[in-house]
Amino acid sequence: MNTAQLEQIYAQITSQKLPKREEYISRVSTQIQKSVSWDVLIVQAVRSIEDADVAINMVAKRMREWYEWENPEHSRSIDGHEGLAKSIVELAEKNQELPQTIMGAKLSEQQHQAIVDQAKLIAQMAQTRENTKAYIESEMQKFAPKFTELAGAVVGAKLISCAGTMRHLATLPASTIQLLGAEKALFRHLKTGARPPKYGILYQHPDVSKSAQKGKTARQLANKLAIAAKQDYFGVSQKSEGEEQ
Amino acid sequence: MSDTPKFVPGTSRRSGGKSQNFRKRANTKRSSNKFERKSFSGRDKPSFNRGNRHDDKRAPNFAEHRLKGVYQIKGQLATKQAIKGQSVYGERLVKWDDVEYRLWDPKRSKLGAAIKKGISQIGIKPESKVLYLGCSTGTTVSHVGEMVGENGTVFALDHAPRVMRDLLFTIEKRKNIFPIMGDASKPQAYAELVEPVDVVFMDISQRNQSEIFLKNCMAFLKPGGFGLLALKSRSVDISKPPKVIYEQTRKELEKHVTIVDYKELDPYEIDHAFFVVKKK
Repeated sequence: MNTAQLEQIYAQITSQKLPKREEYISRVSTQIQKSVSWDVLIVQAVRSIEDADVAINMVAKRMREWYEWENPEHSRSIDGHEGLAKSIVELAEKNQELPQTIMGAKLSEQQHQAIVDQAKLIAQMAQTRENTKAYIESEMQKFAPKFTELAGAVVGAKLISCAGTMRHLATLPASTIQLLGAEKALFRHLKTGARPPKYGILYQHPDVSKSAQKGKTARQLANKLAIAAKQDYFGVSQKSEGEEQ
Repeated sequence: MSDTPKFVPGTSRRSGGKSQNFRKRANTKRSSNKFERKSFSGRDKPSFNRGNRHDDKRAPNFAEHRLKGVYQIKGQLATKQAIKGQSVYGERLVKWDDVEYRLWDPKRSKLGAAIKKGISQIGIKPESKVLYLGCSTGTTVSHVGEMVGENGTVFALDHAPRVMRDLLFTIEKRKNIFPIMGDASKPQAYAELVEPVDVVFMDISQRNQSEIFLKNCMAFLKPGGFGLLALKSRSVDISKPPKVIYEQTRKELEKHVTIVDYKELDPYEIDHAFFVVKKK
């Protein structure tokens, strides 16, 4: 905007009448309402999955500590937290005997039930996590099919989460997509000249984490993701659809 | 067990089972609501409502700051409370002479930091009209609103729906603050909601901060009005040293406005500078 246009704005506002305060508030409220779209919600969902991982781990660690006074052999025999939780809950529901234990103490009904409650909580959190994951997969497939095909639903959602909105992600260059999630390392590199990061969230993508050349794979994948994100957000035109074949 | 010890809070065996007033004060009945309490039970000191004080013991208990609308309580900045009992961002509320004040945290507010660093003039005073760009959830805006008072106006602008949501709750009862959701780099989009203002304050971290600032000054600031720019050098260019960015910004601003004052905001905000400009 040039100076003349700005001075014109000043002239315009000098003589105008302002709306009532209620209108300012209602305008902002409407804008906030309109800003809610599928990607804003998916971002919350994928962040809740990250939270759930931390929360389940924390509760499960405590449960194990607690349960190992009753049956350490059973606890040590099952590696995964959710597996152990489900096992404890099942045995309680079917009123079955716990696996044999030499070190474990015999607990009262009430004492055992307190542990079963913890197991139920973990099983519930794990189930909710699975439900949320299914929701993410469904919406990502629906609203960003090409992007999801390349990135996978959860990694794709995490990328959107890092970018903020799908629109912003679609605007980003591939080099930024490659490093989404590695901001600490990136700004350290820019500020101090330390070595640059090669990947951010993309490291979690199976193609990258299993690759023998992770950096190269991350870069190539990011290149393709940038295009796919633009295709999904802005739409593919008739002309280019024909040229794709 | 018939002789299970009974626990009654406030009593101890040492006191012979009698209840103790841990803060025994003569002639003062302390109500549970801290803001109903009479301030000074024989002690001429302001009553803070939270612990962990960082008072300057040599500073006067209460003084008006040279900037109108700002006060100093035991060396800490404060503004006069607009909504009784409301702590907007967890700041401490203080009562002096039956009037409630809100302490202004310079680590949470760039304007507060600039005032703390001794900025000479800011143009914001009672009855001023202020355009506040980058209001976020309303931390500093609430203080500006209290400085300008009921007859002043603050147009609070921000771009992000998430923070505007918080802002709406904060300013619900602060009738002198008018929220606007818009992009500060496109002044024509919200021009219909603004009137010529005495002060344009900007705290927006963008690469082209100074450009956005000047645009808004030219479009909305009265001639002779003040522009306040909180400059985040790392947003302008992370790879350059802050002093270089400050110099660069100074030159850009000098082309269009007169620079009246300048402060670097360390230690309250690192790599930030504060420019006070006047529109010709």
